[in-house]
Amino acid sequence: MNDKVITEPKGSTPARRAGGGRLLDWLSQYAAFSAVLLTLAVAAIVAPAFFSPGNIRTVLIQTAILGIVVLGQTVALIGRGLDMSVAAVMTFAAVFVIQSAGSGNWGLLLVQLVLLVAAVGLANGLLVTWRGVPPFVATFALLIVVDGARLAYTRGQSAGSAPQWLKEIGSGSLLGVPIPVLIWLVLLGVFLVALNKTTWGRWLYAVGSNRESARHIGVPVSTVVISTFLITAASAVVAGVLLSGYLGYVDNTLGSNYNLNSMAAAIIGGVAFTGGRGGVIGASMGALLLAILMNLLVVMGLDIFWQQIVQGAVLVIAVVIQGLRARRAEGS
Amino acid sequence: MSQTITAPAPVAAGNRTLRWTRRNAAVVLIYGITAALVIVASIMSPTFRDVANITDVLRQSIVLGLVTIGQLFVILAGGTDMSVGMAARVVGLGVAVALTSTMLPPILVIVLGLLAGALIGLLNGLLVARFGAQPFIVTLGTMGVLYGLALAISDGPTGMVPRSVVAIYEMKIGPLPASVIVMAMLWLATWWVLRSSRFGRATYAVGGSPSVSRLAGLNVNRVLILTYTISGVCAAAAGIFLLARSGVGNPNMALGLEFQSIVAAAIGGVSLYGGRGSLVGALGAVLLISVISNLFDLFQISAYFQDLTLGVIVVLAVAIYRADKNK
Repeated sequence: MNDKVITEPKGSTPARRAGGGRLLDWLSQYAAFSAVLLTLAVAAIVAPAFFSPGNIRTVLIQTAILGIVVLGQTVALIGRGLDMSVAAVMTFAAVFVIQSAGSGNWGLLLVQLVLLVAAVGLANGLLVTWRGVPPFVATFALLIVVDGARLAYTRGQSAGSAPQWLKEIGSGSLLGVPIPVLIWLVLLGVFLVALNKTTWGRWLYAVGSNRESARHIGVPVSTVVISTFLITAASAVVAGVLLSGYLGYVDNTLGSNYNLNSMAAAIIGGVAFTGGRGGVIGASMGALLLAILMNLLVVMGLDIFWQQIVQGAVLVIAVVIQGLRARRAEGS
Repeated sequence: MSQTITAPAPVAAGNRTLRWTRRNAAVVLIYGITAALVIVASIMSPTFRDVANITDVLRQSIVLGLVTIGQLFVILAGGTDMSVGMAARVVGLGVAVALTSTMLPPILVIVLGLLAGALIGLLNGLLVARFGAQPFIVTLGTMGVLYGLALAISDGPTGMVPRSVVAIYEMKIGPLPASVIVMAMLWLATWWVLRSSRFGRATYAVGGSPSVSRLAGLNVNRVLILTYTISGVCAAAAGIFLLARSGVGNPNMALGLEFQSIVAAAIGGVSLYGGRGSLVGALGAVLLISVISNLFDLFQISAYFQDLTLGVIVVLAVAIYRADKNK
């Protein structure tokens, strides 16, 4: 069964490029960046309040938190997977955080967070590699399990305040730069090096491009795939902790938009949903774009439902651009 | 031509018998578990074995059944439709508002609601077939858009549904609800379509291998678009049925239907990569899920544990099912 999926990747041949479709090529490479510029231009006209220093800071922090989830999601997508459980992991991590605010037991918190990453990452990874479950089904099932576990654990009352030290990390600054942004930039650097300069990075691109060939040249395919799900879970935990610190509180819906947004950001940033192509720089541009768009809708005073519509539309547009481009490359 | 349709995947002759047995083993397993659960529950709980409760289980299975039928077409053709839950919600809310605030006859409003579902499905189908968008991700996008639309229609309970619409849910023919009888006929009709019609066989072929189907002269795009359109109509019907059941447009309706329908297909033995699986298994899975959620309510298992339990069952089911395949 797996063979079929591998031998028919529907336009995931990264090497071949048809002569036509320059516009599409350009679009899919710079879509996020150009859209950021365009959105900023629109903002300058319709909502100058967007450019107030306080608001810029908000946008940057929101970009950073989404950006951290996107780093993980990008790794999963490059390995031809995806992770639908990040939202649930974020919220569960935040629940552990608010409980520790009451108890002050930071050692326990660390153990809880590490166990959360290990349990969810391994469960996703093993379902996908060992059982051959499609990633979206495996991670969606884990989304239900983790959300259910959180509801059972908290009896539906995932509410409370973040501890003081975390609030300071979430909304404080170092040398004038918000701390979440610093953390994001450091992680971005780490991912950049890991993807481009390490053996693991080469393995990941190989696994995403063609699992069978990767196996033939000696790449430990299963291990690499499992590592991607551990990374998405870890990035979700970091983002969830930061988000609870930034907001100062936690509720049942804390992470709910991050599944869709992290995928939309990565894909509009040029990460191929067919695996093996794209990188964290483009994906981070995508995160910036989404954070700006969401914030702009708020600044413009539009109803909350517009956020949902725009998020969905961005994902649809991103996938369509990539789909068309893949078709061109295939020459069909 | 007919060869490529009946044998979409290259399978050795001896292997095929083996696969046939295995595929049916999944179906036998799902009905076995359902039957065992029903027998044990009947012994343990007089309330469960009450005829009224059994009818209720069947009637409760209709919403998931409708969505699963649509999802089945999409999955068999190699896709996924993540937008079904929100499509049901948008149509349900839209119909509720239209019934209350316009003078249109209910039957016309319902037909328009089904058409809206078809339109949503058509859009999904076009995005997948004409633009080569990855089904799961692009329908996740339309799900987001539809969620926004649902919020735009109403974020609180809305609309009063006339008696004539509530009758869809309550009407009885003899001892059985009319809706259950109609649903049974719908399952039968779908079974026939998938088994014997050209479109049904084309659906399997496209899911087995789009490129081979194209070479064999099938209009792959048309088949794909049709499967998503069917799914949209089914989702709309589910939304309208939910509305008839509750009598009021509920902004939280149809939560999680996309996942439940995919799970029903998966544990019913349908390959999530497309091209293989039967309706009989999916029906068994729908009944099993309906029995389980009925038992949750009967034994008053806290809502907070229901999600967890269902999630764990799903993980186990999916894992075991694939293990069976891998042997």
